[in-house]
Amino acid sequence: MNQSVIKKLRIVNFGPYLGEQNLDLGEGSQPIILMHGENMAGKTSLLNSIRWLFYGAAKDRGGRPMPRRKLLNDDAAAKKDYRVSVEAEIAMSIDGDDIELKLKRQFQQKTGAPEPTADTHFTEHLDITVDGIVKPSSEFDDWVNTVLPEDISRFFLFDGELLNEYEELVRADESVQSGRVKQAIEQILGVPSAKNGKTDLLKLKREIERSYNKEAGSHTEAQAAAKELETLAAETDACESDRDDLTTQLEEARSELKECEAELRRHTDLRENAGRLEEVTKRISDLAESDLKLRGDLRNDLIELWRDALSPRLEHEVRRLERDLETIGQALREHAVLSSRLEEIGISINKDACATCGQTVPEDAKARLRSDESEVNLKLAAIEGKANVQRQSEIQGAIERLRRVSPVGVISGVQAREAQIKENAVQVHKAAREKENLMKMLKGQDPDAILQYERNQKKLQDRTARLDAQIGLVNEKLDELQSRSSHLTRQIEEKNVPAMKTLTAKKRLVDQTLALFDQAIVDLIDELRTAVEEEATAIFLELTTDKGYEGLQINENYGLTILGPGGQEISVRSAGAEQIVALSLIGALNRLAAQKGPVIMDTPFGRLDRGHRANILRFVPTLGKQVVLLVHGGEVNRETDLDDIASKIDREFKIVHLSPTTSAIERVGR
Amino acid sequence: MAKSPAAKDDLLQIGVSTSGQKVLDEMHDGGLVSEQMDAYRLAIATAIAFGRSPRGTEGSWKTKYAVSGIDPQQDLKVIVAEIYPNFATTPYRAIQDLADQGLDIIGAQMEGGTIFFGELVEKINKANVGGPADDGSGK
Repeated sequence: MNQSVIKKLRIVNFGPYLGEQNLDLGEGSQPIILMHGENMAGKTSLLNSIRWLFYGAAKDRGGRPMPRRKLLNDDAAAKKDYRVSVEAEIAMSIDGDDIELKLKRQFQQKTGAPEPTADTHFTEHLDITVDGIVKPSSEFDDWVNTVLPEDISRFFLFDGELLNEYEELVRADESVQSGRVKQAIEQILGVPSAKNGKTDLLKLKREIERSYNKEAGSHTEAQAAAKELETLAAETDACESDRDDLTTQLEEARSELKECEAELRRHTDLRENAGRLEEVTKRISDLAESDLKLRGDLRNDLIELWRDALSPRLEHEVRRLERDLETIGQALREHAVLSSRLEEIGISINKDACATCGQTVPEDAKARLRSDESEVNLKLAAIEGKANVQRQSEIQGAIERLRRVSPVGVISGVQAREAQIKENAVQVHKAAREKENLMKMLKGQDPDAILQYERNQKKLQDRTARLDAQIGLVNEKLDELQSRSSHLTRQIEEKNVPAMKTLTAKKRLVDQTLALFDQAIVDLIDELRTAVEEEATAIFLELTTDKGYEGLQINENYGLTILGPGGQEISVRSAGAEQIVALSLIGALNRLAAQKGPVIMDTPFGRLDRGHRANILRFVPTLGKQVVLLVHGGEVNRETDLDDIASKIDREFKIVHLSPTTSAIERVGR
Repeated sequence: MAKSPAAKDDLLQIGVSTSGQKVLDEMHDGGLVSEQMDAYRLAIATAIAFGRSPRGTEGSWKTKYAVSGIDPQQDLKVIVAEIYPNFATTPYRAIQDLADQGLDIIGAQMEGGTIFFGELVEKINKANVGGPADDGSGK
């Protein structure tokens, strides 16, 4: 079994760690290393520094890879010190041999680059030393894989705040993700080694089959079947060759995909900026198109806008004319009344009798009537100009004509379009400024290259899926050829050709061994799954404070379901229960792993109550030779929580938050 | 009051002053209007709406449109005749002058080759609350 321990860690300008931080982590004489640090102090950065050292990528809170500039300490950047490095001394034991490994990853400002902001403004170096001998940097990934392969790293470099990732793993579903998880879990448990053994055995089988067919061809009684077997063997060879080609292509495509994804990770910010630039450019173009259309519609509205513009003035004129009309009407009515009165007075004076009652009008009354007559005549003279029937008719005509020029109501459309044009102008201005900034950030870089990586990634993903399917089809064809071949072999065996006895025995032996191997792999996987289920159950029962649970049930993809009383499946589980199940799987895999690396757990107790925390603290020392726990005061109280595991603690450190941008790590306590 | 001229003195073709033409060019070249005639009509309406009166003075006009083209339904003629009775017999002479005054108002409100007509009409509405008022230019 392979086992490794990080003895020393040196961090320079990584995250909150300004300058150099040297950590002596011991040699694993006791499993637990405690790192105390409050929120924002730099616990996750410490985990990230190791992840970045090994795999060249650190994760942010959303689980996304972080650009290089964000890894660089801000105070160091302010001092124009753009170097970041992480270095580890690792003691390894491989099949009983002890190896001292030194790994170092660093980046610094590229010569001639401006103040570095993008990933491409930095240059990265890898250094590797094995037992004091410097190795080429091309061997870096191979050695990291020996310590802790990336595919299984999530079970060793555990971030409690990214717990949802683990919860997805242990959810008993059939998602695409679970296939990859299954593969990773089987890798950690050593299944690929068994599968490689089967490949070797298949080669031997093919060699024996070739000798067998050749021998059978030289005996008359077996010639016909041998000839057919030969044809099948040729077809099998062709199919196997196809499968080998396809497998090579698949491996190449996967390797290219991995490189492409690594490149994309390294250029996250550039990629985001390039994508953003494309978006912004499209937005500007869309806005210009919208503006063009709005202005076209506006020009159409403007043809008749003059009518709406005139409308308030015409309304006013019409109201004025209506008032004039009213005045004339009133004058005409008054004129009629006065005229009638004048007629009555005339009759009364001239006929000497009242026009209404016919009685004789006395002289004094006549005198009053004459005075009235003068007064009425004066009034009539006063309104003569106003009581103008012709003008009344003219005004009526004018009102009618003015009303004919009615508003067309395009103004609301004009206002809406103009408001939209103004809004578009603001948006274009903002977008143009953003574009200018993005262009500045992308200056000297080729955003198209990143977009090309993205397109390649998609192509490679499609290609690997296609190749997988093709290999599946070839395997089906090979199974069919194998079945026909077995049938023909039985026919030859029935002939009992004495000269073929040894070859027949060899052939049977290899077939039986192969069948045995196949069954062994199935059994191994079954056993491993059962072992994972048993270990996970044991750990789960040790960790949970709910004594009503019976254990965990594993499915084909290593998804775990909690079993309640009587083996009843519990479909709904709380965030705390999810965490316990995830930790149970991690614990089981760690215990069963063929390859054991250091375990580093960041905030592992985040969602747990006191009872569960105590259980987990008792459990973690069993996880491996070196378990680094990054915890805050809310999770683990140094004074009260550590008594049970005091003897398992190798050493303790404290992450001290010196300023908003700087932290330091100090050794404390025992 | 100016003495009303006879109908025979009215125009069959109306024109625009040099400064008015400049505004028309600016509006057309800036893509604000499809045809200069649209801006010309809007200018007449703007001057009337802002309470301007025909000045009745001779100016220097460059012939631009036949009156039958600018006012095919004679709507403008009717309006001018009703609102400005002194020009009832020579409405197109008045219209020519009002167009120039309107272009003057629009030109003054244009900034950087553009104008928002919604705002212009808004100002007209406000100016006409309680009776026709002016465009604030003091003319």
